Amino acid sequence: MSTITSAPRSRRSDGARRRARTEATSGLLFSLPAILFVVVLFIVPLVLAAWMSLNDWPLIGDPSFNAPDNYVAISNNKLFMDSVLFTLKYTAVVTVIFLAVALGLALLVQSTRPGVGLFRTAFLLPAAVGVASSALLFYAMYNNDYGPLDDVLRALGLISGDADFLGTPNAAFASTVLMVTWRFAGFYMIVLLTGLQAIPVEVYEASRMDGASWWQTLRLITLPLLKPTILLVLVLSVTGSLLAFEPFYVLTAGGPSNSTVTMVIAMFREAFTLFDLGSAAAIAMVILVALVAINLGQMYAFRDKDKK
Amino acid sequence: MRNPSRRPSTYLVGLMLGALALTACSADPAESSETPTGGAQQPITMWARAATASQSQALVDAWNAENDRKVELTVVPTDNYLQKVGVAAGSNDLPCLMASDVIYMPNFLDKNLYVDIAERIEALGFADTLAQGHIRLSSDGDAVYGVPHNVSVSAIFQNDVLLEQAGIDPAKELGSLEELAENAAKVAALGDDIDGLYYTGNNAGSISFTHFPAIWASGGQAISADGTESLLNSKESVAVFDVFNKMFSTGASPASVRNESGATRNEVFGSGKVGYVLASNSVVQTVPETDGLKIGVQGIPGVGGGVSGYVGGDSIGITVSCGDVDAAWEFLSWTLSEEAQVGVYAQMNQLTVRSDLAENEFAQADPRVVRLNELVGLGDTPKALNYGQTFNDPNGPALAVLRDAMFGADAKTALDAGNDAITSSLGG
Repeated sequence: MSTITSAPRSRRSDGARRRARTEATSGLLFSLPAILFVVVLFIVPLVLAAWMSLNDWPLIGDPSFNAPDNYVAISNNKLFMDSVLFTLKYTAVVTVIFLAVALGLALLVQSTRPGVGLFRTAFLLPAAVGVASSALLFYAMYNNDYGPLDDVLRALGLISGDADFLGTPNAAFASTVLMVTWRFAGFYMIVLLTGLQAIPVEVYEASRMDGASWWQTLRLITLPLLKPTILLVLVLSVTGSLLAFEPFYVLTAGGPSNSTVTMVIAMFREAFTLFDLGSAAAIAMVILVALVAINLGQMYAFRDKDKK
Repeated sequence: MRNPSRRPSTYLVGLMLGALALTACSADPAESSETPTGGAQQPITMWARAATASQSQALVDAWNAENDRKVELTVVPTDNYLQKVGVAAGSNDLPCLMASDVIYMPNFLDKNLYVDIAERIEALGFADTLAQGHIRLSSDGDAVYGVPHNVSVSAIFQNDVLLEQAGIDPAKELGSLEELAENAAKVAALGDDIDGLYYTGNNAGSISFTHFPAIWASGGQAISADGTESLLNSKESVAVFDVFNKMFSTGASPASVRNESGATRNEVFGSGKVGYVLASNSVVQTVPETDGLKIGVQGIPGVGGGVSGYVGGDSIGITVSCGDVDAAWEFLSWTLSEEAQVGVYAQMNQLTVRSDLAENEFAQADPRVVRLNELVGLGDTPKALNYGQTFNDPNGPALAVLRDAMFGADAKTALDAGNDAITSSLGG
């Protein structure tokens, strides 16, 4: 009896296995382009950078293995060590500002009233300008002999005498933060706006029925339901800010007195000013590990604790 | 049930991957790194940086219009130039002809990237008229590996309209740096929005370009002859920076020079509210004159007299990867000929790399260009293996020291305190 019944079962399972195998093969074939893409554009450069970081690698000339000298040298690289603290400070400041300004703008243009499209476009428009171009635009505006900003602020009575937008460490930092806020706040506004519009209207109606105030609605309805989008904004902002380069490179070149050198500027200097690719690669690996750790930390902190 | 593996899309994916693999494996052996570039009848390959590409392109176009053996110019973004050379040098994929910012020639010579063309240059018959700073930076002992490809020179550009308003004769040659300071103060006194002297004060490369000539004109040197020692704390250098320091502290130079990286320097001068600007010859070519701005040119004077200029620009040589050195030289020697220098460069209002062609027919139409051409002959170019690393480093010691000398309390204190750090960066 058992032999009679087991034969068709075996045939069925053989067929299922074959189908599973061919499906797996097809799946692999379909994903091969993506795999190739990742290997060629991510894995290979990463491995190369890791190998480079273990070598004394001049821009022109033959590399020689010198591990772990490049990593040891990082701790003696005062410019880079100072840049770590500065970059963390910059990241913390701009992330808070991005979130506050972008959320404010998103709440402003959340409802579909007449003319709101104009404001959405106006707020988003700076995001269409390249970061380096934006920095150059602000650089010209911050020049008292060329740009109008100084005159405008004086005419409004906000300053007396000459403004010095880039001359002191604090002024250079604030001027750069203003520029990146102008450039990025609109982009984050759009990201938050998509999150806001995904919140069902019924929830707001229910909160109104319960007599919730605007503040209570924001605190107890909007922000909790916006958490995944806020996480996305945080990850994007923190990652982007830790890798900040163009705004400072164009506006301040790391000055005055190296007070605005970011980690990437310090890395860039090792590679393309001092022509020491090995040291630059070692710094890049350290930044990469730190970035992965910080992003993992963010995701852990914002994980859904109610998930079963 | 239909077998998924036989779906047309599966075949399509397989086909695409096959094509990809074939493409990857079908590189032309002629392009392999083992083959020297510029073999017989192949175009002569050439690289130039974007910053000066318009001049290279004009020469190449003029040559290609008249010759069967073409030159193929690749314009490389200026900021990526060294990286591209580095990668190509490692795989013996350099072009036949490679132009370079002249200050990096010692680096390329150090890596043996060029072939010696000393005898060919000597045979030209006008070798001594070529910009000598370029030749010096392209030389190692008796061997010469490059010739000037294009030149730029630093000078003082003045707004004749403002000078006249301040009671200064624009035609009178500046006798000294002190006289420049006096005149700048007079111009600045014209009004709150008028500046006496403007320059790039937040870029060590630019500061060396515009301020070192004042040291040379004063009879001193900024760095030692072997390029390993900073002489910026010498008495001539201290005297020069002291004049600039006083101009800044007294308002003859505006506060904004401290933050000027060079990006808006010509625009500020173009506003017509600046008496003098220290800049490159690009001012004459790019800043339009208006009713309130008539541009005059002066050499950069030193303390107590003298005049000089920093001769920058690009040098060019034949690389060790070149398969046809004779053909490459044929083009290169033509670029130095009167036909190219006058017929191409001078016609487009550019400076000539030969001092004997300074007063050519096109330059004579604009006395300012004649003066700039003369300054190329009078000027110098400092030679140091680590010049770029030292003076093009916005985060290195040189910029901090030079800024402190110009904008701090005292030039001598700043230069004495920072000189060793600059020497260390130069490799001394």
